[in-house]
Amino acid sequence: MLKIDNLTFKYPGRNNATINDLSLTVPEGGVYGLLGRNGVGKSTLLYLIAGLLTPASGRVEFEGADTRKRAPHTMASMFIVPEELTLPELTLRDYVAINAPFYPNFSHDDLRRHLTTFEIDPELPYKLTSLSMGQRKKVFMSFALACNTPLVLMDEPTNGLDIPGKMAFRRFIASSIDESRTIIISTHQVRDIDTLLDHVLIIDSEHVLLDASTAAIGEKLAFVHTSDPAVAERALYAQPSVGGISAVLPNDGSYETEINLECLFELASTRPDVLAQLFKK
Amino acid sequence: MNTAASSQTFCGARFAATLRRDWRMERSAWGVRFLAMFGVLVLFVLVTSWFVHKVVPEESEPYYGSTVYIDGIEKIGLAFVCYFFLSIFISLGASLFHSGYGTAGQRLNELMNPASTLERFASRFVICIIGVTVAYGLCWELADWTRVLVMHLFDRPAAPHVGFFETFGVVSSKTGYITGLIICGTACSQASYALGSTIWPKLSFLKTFAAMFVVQSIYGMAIGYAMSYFLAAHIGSGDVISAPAIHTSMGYTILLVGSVVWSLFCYITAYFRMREDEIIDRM
Repeated sequence: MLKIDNLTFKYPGRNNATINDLSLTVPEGGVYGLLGRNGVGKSTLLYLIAGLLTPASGRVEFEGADTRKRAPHTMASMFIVPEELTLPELTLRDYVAINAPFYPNFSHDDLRRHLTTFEIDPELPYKLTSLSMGQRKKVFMSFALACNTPLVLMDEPTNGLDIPGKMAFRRFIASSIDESRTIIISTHQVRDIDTLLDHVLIIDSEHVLLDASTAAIGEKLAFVHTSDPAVAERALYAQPSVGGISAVLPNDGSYETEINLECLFELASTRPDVLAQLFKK
Repeated sequence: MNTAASSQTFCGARFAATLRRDWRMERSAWGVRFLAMFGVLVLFVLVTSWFVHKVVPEESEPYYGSTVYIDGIEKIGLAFVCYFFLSIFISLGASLFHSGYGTAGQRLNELMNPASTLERFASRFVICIIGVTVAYGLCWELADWTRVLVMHLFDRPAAPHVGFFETFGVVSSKTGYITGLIICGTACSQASYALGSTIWPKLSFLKTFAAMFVVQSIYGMAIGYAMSYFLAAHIGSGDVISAPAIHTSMGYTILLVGSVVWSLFCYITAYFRMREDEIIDRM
């Protein structure tokens, strides 16, 4: 469905490539968490997927079409929610009236449902520019998912959301999951999304450090919190935490634990070879 | 709108939706611009009409006292105001051709809109080029009728209403040529500023104006140096130098063709710049 082939991208005026020879395939359906350190090119990768940047080499294909060509059909099949939004000085009703016709599967009912999840009045009478950053984000994300595009790209979607907003965000994503829709979420706020993910992608600028489903991660790794130093010694990765140690252990089948994305990320960053061996395809 | 079934280059329904979107997003701003244009025109036509009659009183001298003459001067003044502000306002309008691409956020909104480049280009053309020209003509008509009304209220003599198209025939009996020249100038200016806006989405008018000033200065200097070099070679040689005769209609045709070629070049370049747009500004 989404295929990234040997993608290289360099910003003008910089010596090093932000993304260097990256290849990746994202099948249809599911929620993908895109993780990586600052500056490895997560946002850039989302822009490249959306055809908003021209790669130095390689290409991104979505449903068989080169996204850089930005054909109307391709653009109507994807939606990007950027980290920082610029919305026009329009009411929600006007915004929907002028943008919804471009999306053949747009659903007004879904929009109402999503806005209600975020506790925003679907008949919001104010101009979008008069809303706070968090409210604007909620409105925009509601519109994004109401478009019912097969691919939704979200860059730091929980930045600017209050605590109830983050809880609502999890409900919002959970209620929008279906087999034909892929949602790629790039974020540093891993605790906001850890229970939502079907798949984890951890990248640095040159490699995909981890590309595995949460089910596969749960089968092969165990995430424990312990005060026993002996456990830490045989852990693949361990870090001190409140009241003990958070550790990642090889799972021999005896553990059924929830994924700790922070520990997983650190393991991928510090011992990529171990993960590569474990998740060799 | 079934985008899958419709053409990926141009689809009427998608173009209509794009035009509606562009217009609705900027409707208020265009309303303010229209009022500003009207205000400026009213001010200048009133000043022109008022002071022409003040400095040339009807009863001062028999020769200048002719009403026809006063009307004629006033009309020339009004025509000048009309041409001058036509060139300013249509250039300002054209410089907004790419205004929705000023910031990364605005660029993202525009680029993610599922319309083809041709549809987005045509939509901007309708609003910033055709729309602004029509709006200017309308503003002129309203402004001049306002002048006639105000002069009548203050009981001052004034020329009757001068329509937008009527101004073309005021300064010359060769109405066709003048109309052609105004259309050529307008088209070239609009095309240049439209191209400029795709290169500099921010402060487009000033930057394009500066660029055109520099280019024209360099061109003028190059011609000047070439001419002085050419003439220096003939000074003292006794040669008689005569410029090749160019008939008015031939010169007019050259100007017309040149304008069309330049305008097409600008619009085609602007289209391709729009097509290659990215979220970052590479210039």
